[in-house]
Amino acid sequence: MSEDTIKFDIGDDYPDLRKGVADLCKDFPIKYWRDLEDQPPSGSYPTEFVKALTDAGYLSALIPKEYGGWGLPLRAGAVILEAVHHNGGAAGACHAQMYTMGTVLRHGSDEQKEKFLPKIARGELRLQAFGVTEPTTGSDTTQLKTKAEKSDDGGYVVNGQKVWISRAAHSDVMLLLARTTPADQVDKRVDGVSCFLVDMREAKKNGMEIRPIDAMVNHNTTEIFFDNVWIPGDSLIGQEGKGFRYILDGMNAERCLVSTEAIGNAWYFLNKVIDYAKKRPASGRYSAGGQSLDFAIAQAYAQYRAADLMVRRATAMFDAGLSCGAEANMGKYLSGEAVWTCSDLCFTAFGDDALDAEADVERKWRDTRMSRNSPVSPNMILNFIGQRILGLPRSY
Amino acid sequence: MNEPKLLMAINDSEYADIRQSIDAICSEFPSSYWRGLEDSADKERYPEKFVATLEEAGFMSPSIPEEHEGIGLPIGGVAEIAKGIHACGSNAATFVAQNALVEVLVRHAGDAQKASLLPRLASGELRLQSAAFSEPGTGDDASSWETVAEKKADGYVINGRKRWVYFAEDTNLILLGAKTGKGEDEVSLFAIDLAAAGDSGLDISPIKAMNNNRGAEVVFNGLHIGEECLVGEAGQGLVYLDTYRTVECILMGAAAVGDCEFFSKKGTDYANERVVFGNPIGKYQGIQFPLARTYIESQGAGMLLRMAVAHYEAGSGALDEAVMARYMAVQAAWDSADTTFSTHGGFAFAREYDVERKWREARAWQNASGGDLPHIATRTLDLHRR
Repeated sequence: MSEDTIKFDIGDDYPDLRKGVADLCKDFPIKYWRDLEDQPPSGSYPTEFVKALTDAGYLSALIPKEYGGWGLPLRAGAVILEAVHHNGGAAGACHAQMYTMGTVLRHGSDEQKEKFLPKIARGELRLQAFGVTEPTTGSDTTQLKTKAEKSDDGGYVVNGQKVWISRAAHSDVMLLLARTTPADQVDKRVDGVSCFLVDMREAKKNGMEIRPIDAMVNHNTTEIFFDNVWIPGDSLIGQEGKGFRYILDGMNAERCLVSTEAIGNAWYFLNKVIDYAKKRPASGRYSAGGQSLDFAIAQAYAQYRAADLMVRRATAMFDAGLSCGAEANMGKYLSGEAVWTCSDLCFTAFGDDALDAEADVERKWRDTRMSRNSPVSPNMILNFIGQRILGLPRSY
Repeated sequence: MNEPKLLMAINDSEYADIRQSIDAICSEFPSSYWRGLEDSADKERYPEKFVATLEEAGFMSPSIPEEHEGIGLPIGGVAEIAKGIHACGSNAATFVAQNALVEVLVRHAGDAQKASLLPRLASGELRLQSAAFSEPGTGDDASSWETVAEKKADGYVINGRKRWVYFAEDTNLILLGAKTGKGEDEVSLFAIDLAAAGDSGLDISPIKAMNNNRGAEVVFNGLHIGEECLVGEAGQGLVYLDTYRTVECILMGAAAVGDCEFFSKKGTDYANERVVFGNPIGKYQGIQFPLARTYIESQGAGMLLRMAVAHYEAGSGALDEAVMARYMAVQAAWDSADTTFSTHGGFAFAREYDVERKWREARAWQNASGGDLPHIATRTLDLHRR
């Protein structure tokens, strides 16, 4: 545990951002999100919503002022995403622009920042794709197989396959993790992979293919195939071979952000189930309310508050530049469990009404189940805590 | 959910010096000391030596302000003591009881009562460890209490029955809650010096119970007490009880978080040492994952506890936060306890390993926090007040 003092607000921090996002979300009522789901994957991206968020500046909140953004800390970005979710929306379509900033801002060169950030801030470029996961390596990120080999002209040639790359068809730039040194030629498991900022518009012309995956939740996720895709040498972020370390910053930022989204969802469901419980009689022959529901709500509320505090702590540590792996992981675990408790409780309380699309329980209930699988398996968090914090042997 | 904004500052080493002192004190009271108490005759089960050592070190009533000869430790520091005691495997029941009751006097007693009692509590000359609140028929529901304090010219006459009065045979002072009128909210509190009150009109019967809990039933049969026993103003007892409950919840929550530390270390150490099927059992995910999961759970509860402390120290009402913190801490303590119990297999039952004693204690916390979910549901979330 850290000896530094970590400070953060409890309660409604960034009230202006919360109010602004809530107002914006009024233009995108629940029906908007429901109707998207009736579209085929190719038409289901919330283009208008993402444009509105971008135009209002929210998606550039973390970009430094000198590059045209708001220069706010990660917590501000988290609050924006939380507000989207608590107001019934889904920020999964656009949140990557925030968590990729952890890597780009800390490890990208001035030239790269100059080249991309002002355009992203103006909404001319979308940095929404995070190309890490692969079909055969999953959580074992350091063993990824997609290769980027140096070409004679100073560029790289990329070959391989990525999967569960959300928003790729709606993004112009991708943060890509690829192997630059074979796994059997590195000293440490974390070495040998590099980070690239790939211009997808060019890559698509040069052998990169994006295929949508039809999935339970509307995250516009895809698989991506690289077939001898040439990318320029200045795509490389930082030093070759150090990419896994750079991406870890992005991963911790991602954990803080999506955990806060989960907090927003938990809040959405708590509001919903509390309203429902208050309207039901406390007792009666056919009452689904009563103390069994009230106490379950109370338990879910306490769980949600504890998770929220841990996530705020992790985010404050990230913003202070402190190592926050344990806290970000614990926040992720607690928020995932808390949001699932809240959403599943609401689902149960609503009875058959939960299935009614217009009750707006089932869509977000499906969404929240993601929080217990992604972007990191809870089992991997338990492994991390077991080994790194408690000092137990590696189990896998 | 529309919570007031409040800045939290977390520094894990804020009370490192206090924690070191507590660790040093507790090292003199190993598990054999606590087991020994359970094996003693009823009259010798009170942790006299442990309490006396805390008193000598000035740790038994640390929240008493300097003007009353205490050290004025903020509640966060008091909580750290409770946590430290439990993390070491010792038991802070006496400490939690005394500090929750002393805080009622610090916050609500009149000047004369403070001047009379607080310096002697700070020095350890007096102990205030018994809350005579709960009743056989009505439990903690103060508005339904049947114990009555009838006003007389020179004080009050008490009639009624209280149950689960802890340390009644060991304390100097008890804090009594009684009705001083017919109305539901006409509750008053009294700090009664048992020696001064004498034997007539008072009967203390210890309850034989699981754990070394030293609960008793106390019958007041026309006990006469002086006017000076009244805490603050008559009829304000429910307000004062909120202070008691807030501090009790914070300190019990802190002790439960300390239990989590104890069980986490105990379970992890054993999982690393014990080799079965060729590996330390901690290598198996069936053993490792519950230990990791309960650790995370306890860290979450610890955050709620910090929040409750921050609210209390900021001077705002912190009862809702304290109740929530205790609820989650006590749940985490039980989950940690039961996980460590399972981790130890058959050895969990061997008293020498000291898992079963702490496991029984952790289970008892859960009943102490039985009113927490109803509180969160009806008071915090305003669901169906009944």
